[in-house]
Amino acid sequence: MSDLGLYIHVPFCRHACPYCDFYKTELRDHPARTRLDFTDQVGRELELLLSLEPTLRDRPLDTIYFGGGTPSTLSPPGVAELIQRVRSQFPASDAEVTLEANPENMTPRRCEAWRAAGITRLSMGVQSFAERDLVLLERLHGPQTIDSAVKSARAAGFGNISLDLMFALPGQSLEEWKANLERAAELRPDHLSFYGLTWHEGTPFTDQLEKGLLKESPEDLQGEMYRQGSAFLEAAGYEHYEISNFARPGRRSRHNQRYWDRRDVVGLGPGAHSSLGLSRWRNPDDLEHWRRFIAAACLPRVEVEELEPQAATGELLFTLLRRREGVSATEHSRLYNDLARWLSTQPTIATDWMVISPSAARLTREGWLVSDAIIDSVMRSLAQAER
Amino acid sequence: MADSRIRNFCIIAHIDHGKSTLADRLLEETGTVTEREMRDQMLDTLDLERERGITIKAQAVRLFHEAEDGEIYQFNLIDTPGHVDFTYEVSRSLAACEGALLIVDATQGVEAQTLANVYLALENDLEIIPVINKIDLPSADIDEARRQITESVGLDGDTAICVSGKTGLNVGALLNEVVKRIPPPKIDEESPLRALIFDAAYDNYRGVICYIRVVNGRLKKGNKIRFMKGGMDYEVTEIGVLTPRQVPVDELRCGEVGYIAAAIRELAEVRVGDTVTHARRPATEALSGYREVKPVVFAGLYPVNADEYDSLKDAIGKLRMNDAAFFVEPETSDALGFGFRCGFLGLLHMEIIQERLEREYNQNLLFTAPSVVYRVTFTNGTVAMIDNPSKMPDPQVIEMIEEPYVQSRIFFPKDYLGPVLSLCQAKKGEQRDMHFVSAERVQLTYEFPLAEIVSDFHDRLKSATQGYASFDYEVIGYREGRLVKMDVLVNGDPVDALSVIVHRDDAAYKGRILAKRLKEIVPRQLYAVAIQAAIGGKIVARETVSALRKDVTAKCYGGDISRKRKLLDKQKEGKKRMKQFGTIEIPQEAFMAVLRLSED
Repeated sequence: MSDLGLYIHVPFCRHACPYCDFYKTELRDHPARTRLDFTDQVGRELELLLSLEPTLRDRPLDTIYFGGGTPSTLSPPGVAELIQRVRSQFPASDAEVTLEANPENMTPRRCEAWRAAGITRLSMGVQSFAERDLVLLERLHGPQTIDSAVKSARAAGFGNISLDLMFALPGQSLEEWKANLERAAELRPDHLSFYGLTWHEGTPFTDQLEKGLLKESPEDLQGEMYRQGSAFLEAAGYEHYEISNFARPGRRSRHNQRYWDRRDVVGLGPGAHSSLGLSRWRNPDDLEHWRRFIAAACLPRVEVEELEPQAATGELLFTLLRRREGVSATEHSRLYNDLARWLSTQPTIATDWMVISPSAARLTREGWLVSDAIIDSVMRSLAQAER
Repeated sequence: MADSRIRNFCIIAHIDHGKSTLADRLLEETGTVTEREMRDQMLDTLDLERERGITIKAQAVRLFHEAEDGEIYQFNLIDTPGHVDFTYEVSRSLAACEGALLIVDATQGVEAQTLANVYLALENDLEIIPVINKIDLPSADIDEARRQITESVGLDGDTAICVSGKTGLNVGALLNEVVKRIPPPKIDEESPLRALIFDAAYDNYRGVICYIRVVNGRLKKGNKIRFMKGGMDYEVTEIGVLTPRQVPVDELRCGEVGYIAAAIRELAEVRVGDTVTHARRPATEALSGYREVKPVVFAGLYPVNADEYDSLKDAIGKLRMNDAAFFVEPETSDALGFGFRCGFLGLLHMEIIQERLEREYNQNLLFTAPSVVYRVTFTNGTVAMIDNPSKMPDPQVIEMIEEPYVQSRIFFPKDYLGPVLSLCQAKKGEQRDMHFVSAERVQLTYEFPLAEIVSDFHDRLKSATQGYASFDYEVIGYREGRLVKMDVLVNGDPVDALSVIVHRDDAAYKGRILAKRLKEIVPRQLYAVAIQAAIGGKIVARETVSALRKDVTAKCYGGDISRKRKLLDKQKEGKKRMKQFGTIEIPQEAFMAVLRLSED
């Protein structure tokens, strides 16, 4: 029986960051009770799901991932209880249990409590070490908080810590970005992710962009930040194993790799997405709406769909090409052949982007930089070949 | 019905002056349709007509009116298309009448089409009753409308009837005026049959339905008839009148208006303006005024995906069943593959057909920029008509190129005189006349190369006058022009569908603008795209669309994947109108870019 990943979306934030487009809700809008009840409701959602899909119970849990929002705003005992409750439903396993945490929440006491609760990995929302960036991003921590947070986590015994950084911020220079990476490397995290700022529609950031109050980082600069960032971290001993992710040997995110391999992940909590075989569904991205489903003992599924083979191929191509390993010649021979054929029709410059070895087709760093356009072009050539 | 109690008339007006609304009120007032049956603008049948507020196909309705003398009169109201592209159809509808109601909007005054329609009505010897409409509006200026009717149109403005099509005010009085002022038809039932076909439509069960006006003699069901221009004989299977539903009758008498069905399989067999006569006792002479309808604007129509060719062909075939003026023949383009060369009566006609193909027939279309028909004289003396710029032969073998010219009338408030004059000059216009129709409004008469009108003239006129101008045009003949073909090369390969004919004097300038515009339109892609404009092999302009430097989805976890998948789907929809050339994609707008070759 194949294993299973579990994602738990914790929507609470002390303060909503202006660039974020995940579902979240600010704590000041809720009584303290809401957060206490939340973990219980997630437990009930899981039990509801398992009563409808009992075979899931036989599958060992590979990962549990608390994402958000800001999961570090939950009370550690609540988290402990939920982990206990979740794990008791499945066969015993050596699961990776990740909690996304903001530096300002990572006190020594909390870190110890999370460790005791069974959290094995912390993913820290650092974003930047520059005071100016943190103010712009409306983060609640300062540069010093980051250092002490990592110290607390290490002291509590966390052997798997990841840092999230952002680049292509308005006004950020290449030097500032490199300084950020150096500061991050000094903390010797086990894992690092960096993301170019994405201007999501409907966020306050994008509103300000449209009003001309913020300026997008020039495309060439963004490309250079990505290139140099990747080169720097690789030189520092990190493997660039996915478009935006770096890890020391043996420290890749098990949970996130499930997404890129399209292995099953069940999502719980408001706004969580699930992917089980060819089924995809989404929970309502509204806390109250989601809660009403649970209270009525009803699975909070909205937008359920069964993927058509072509859409599934598109998903697989899109996610596999994000990985360092790319598309395996044996495991996905058809896609591998499609990619080889696509490359053969392209101008020679395309070989800077895609490398076809006898074992796999994969994108290079330069290819990752324009990967959306490449995937788009591949998908269209596939559609044409089908005609 | 005694023949002296028949009145055949139509309503003529500038677009938006309220013709269809007034027709609706006439139908209501005479009890022809009850209010419950009344859909607004009863006479417009196609959805597109309702939406655009214009009438494409003329129809005829019979109504009965009890006049002041206590007698019941038979009115045949013939609706006319309201746009410049359909001038010939309008003229045939007018020829079926003895009178016309000329509508002038009390808030707008006389406009370009008002005059064009009056001239057509006068050519057909119609009695014209001026009607001032929309008098219910606060901005109505009845005195000014009267003055303009007198001074600009040359009719007696004091005899105009003031009505409101919206509220129905004075519509009864208007009906009485129709009885008094419009003469009854001349009756001649002894001569051989002559009936004018003023419109036709296709019906799935009965074949083509012809709308006719009997001018001489009478026509009965079962009669063997002959189309004098078409030369074919048929047997009349059904005769009827429109109330506005089709109601079969046994006979149409001299002076009457109605329809016939005669198991005619194709609309192409019926020519508007043709004369119907008896096969056994034919008339010696057809009615005058018949003209072959010739398309003046041509464009290439292609499926976006090659495998949709057959479905496009079917859709075009179906559309042609109802539009004899829509000309089609197969065409092949190196760049676009298999498609069709289509001819239209004008720009609006073209737009309507494109929209119908997309909306009603759900076609995924790509169309090239419209072109006029050039007359090319070769050095060896032969002459060819070229309706596709890419087919223009090499300059070495050309003795002379001639292009169609139009005469255009433009009406607008005098404040915009400066911008309009410079627009006309930019469009290579030659002024024929300029005068003030009122203290505020100017009428210009200009002659232009049709190609200049077909490009962005209307849009630019609108923006130069903030939408306050009206214009119409008619083709007046061919004149020699200093013309050359400009080709567009994408990454070194010519794209035939982007070729355009330009004046030699501003070819280089237009080449630069075209290259620049294409650069804005062609999206950045994986590879750099070189765009060049060339005249006779010589590159006159070059632009480069640089390659994408960064195009990557930063985060890709649970929900991001679904979101991305949907985004890709959406992009695919948006890409429907992109044509792939090797590794490069060119959007539909690029093919229209050649229309706007001016800096503004």
